[in-house]
Amino acid sequence: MKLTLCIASIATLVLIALPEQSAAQSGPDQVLYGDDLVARGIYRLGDIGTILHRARSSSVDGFASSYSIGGLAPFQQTAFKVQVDGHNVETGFWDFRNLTALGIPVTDVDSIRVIHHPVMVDGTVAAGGMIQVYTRSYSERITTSISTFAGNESGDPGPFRYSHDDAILDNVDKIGPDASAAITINDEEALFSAGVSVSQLIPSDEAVFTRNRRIFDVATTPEVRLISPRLRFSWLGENFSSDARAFAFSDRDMMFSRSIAREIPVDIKQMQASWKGTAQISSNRVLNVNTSFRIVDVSNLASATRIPVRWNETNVRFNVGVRNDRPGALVTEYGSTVALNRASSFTGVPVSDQSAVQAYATSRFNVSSIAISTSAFAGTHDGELTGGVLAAGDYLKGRSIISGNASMFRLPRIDSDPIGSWLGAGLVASTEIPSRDRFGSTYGLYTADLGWTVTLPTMSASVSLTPSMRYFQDIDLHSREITADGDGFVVTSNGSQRSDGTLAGINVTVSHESSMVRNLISVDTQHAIQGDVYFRRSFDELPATKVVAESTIMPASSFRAIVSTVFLSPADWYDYQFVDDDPDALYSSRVDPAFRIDAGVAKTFWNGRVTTQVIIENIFNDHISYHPIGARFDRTMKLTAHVQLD
Amino acid sequence: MVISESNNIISRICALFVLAVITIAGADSAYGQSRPFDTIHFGVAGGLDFVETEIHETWTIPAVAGIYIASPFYAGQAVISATYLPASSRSGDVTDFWALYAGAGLDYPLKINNRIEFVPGFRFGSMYMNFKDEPVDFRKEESEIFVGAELGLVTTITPSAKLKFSSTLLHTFTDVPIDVSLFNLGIEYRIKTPGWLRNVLQ
Repeated sequence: MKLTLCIASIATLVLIALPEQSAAQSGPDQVLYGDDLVARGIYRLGDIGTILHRARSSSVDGFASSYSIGGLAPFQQTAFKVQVDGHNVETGFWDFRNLTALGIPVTDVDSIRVIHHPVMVDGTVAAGGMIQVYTRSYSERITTSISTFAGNESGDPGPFRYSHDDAILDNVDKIGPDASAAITINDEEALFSAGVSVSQLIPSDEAVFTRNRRIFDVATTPEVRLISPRLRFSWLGENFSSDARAFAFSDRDMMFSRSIAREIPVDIKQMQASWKGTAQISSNRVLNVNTSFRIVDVSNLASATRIPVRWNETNVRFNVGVRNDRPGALVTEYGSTVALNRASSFTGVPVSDQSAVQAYATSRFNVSSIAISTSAFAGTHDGELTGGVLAAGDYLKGRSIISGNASMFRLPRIDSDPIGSWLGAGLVASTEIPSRDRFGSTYGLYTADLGWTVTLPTMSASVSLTPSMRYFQDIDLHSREITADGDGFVVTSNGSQRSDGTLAGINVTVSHESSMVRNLISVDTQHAIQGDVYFRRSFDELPATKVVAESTIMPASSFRAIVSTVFLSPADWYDYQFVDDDPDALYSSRVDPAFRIDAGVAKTFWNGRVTTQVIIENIFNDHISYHPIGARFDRTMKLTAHVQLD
Repeated sequence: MVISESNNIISRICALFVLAVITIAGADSAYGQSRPFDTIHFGVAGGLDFVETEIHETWTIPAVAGIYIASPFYAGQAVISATYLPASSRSGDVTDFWALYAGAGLDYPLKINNRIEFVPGFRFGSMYMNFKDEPVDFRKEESEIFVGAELGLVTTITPSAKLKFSSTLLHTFTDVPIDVSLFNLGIEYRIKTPGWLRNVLQ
């Protein structure tokens, strides 16, 4: 520990002592760059959950993560949305998100913007925030790339399990091997690309074993495996552009079902296709059309038949909008979205069908924005699976969203980019109109956000301060529900508050970059308490303080060494109930503080076409147990190789 | 065959490397003029375990066998190898198992004279274990990271065939580390790399 502190101190001193060059950041949205993610040793896109500001993520033994980027409790309909190059994509259900299923390795990511607050983009309402992924663009006529990644945590018992009574399984055993391949063909106006990605995870942690044995009739945790192919065809004309994409995935995974409050091994198959067209229809007006089609099917793994699950869903979405853009003047945007959804489930309750029609209108200003959305939903429920609640009948409901933000603190004398901004209030209100067998209810999400970023370029480094504060209330008022009771039904009425709390924090980032050394220290301190009606007494406390210090040393263009230290303060976790004979049981634990140091080297060959990287996480093997179920994370070696040919 | 007791494998690795450095100081690189992937070396080897460590309290390791492929690299000689290691329970109370060390590494061949090369090198990779009679609740397979060091002497039999004596230390990062020390005898056959394959490799 002394040595790790010593190295961290040296990294700090290097940061202070070395001169010149600054990195800039504007606005409180978090921006992650693909090169930095690669340098951190992150290969799978889904693993970014651990480094997001104001985020809580939890994934024990699968690719799917339950994480909230806006301070909201997970397992709710306010989960964040995802866009890839402006296309709406869905990679999860039951409010899980699985970014790895996009099939985009981090080596193919240019940047990621993380919007923590309610936002509307091209008619997509994201009450829980949005993650926008931008992929790399290649200018060469033909570009091919191949990547592979594998990791292994040390410290498992091996054969000593049989000869040492105290030998236990300490960690998740094997990560990967993952592999991906892609080809991009560029013409003057057209672009075609295709890729495929494979990921695997073989968990063997004793804590995971113990839990899963209690839940399933399986001796071991199933190995999880994800295969994701993707296609893209784009055409860029003088006044018209077209971008068509499709991706699919097959995923053996561990998913949490809120309706049965358990994690279950499932087999997921999904296909999604989308098209985005843009046309300049006058000197100031641009027409945008977005449409997507998605079909997903979820079923049990054969080895886990104790909890039968069958779910399939079809979504069709069409959005058209016009943006009126006059430089230096009011920018307005208006449009409409039609979305049709059909879902069927069999999990001990009947089928659920739903259709929805949505319309929206927005107005946007060049230095500030206000977005207003009104929506109307109509449909028929034969049954709805929500927290073990069965509801039936026709319904009609409306929803309105108001959100706003403004950028300010512009420095006129140097005509700089905005160096600060504040975020306004968010309101999501949904009122369900009583009809036939359906009782009315009101749902509301009320948020108030305040945050800004101030970047102070100094002689030797760039200092960014991002204080933020959020109050939110996620509430379900006066709902009256029909619950199954044996062969009959029972009507119940309750006003429930799904979660509420405050989240206050400050992020201080000090960065410095020279030709040979790049240093970054990021300090996140935050506090949030959340409650969730589904798990009545449950609440979570985010780690109050997270400190990340990184130093990257580049003595030559083909070589890079990285040292990273991470500190997470202690936290309380109270998570889902899962025990058959004790329905009120909560899985809870006091999570120890964690301090770890990671180190790695990367070497490029053949004029940068081949990159290999070795990252060793927790190199001093401090037996970190920073996990809600007590799983330990020991020294881990990760190997990555990437080949790109132009 | 176990000929002595020692848990201090690390010190032995250090001693071997000191020996290697002393030898390197007086030798010439055997591949100083070679182009990367100019030749490919196919090898088979067998070995005996000769140092007793904690794993030998419960299991015996009668012998090991392995194959490897090597080729001149930009620096030294790149190697990929697979070594099979069976382990038999001494008492019969615990399961037998077998392991496969699948790894890669780099050798640095040094020419002692026209017939003999001294070859120090390192290895790293994954040790795959398969437990024969897994009783309950545990997967039959497991794997862990290993690192290793090797010192070898290669002597020429024919222009294409070589005889290789080597000593290998392998350290696996299990909760109680698995350390094995091997004396190996092997034979390798060297061919000139076909042009198309060399182009692919380069």
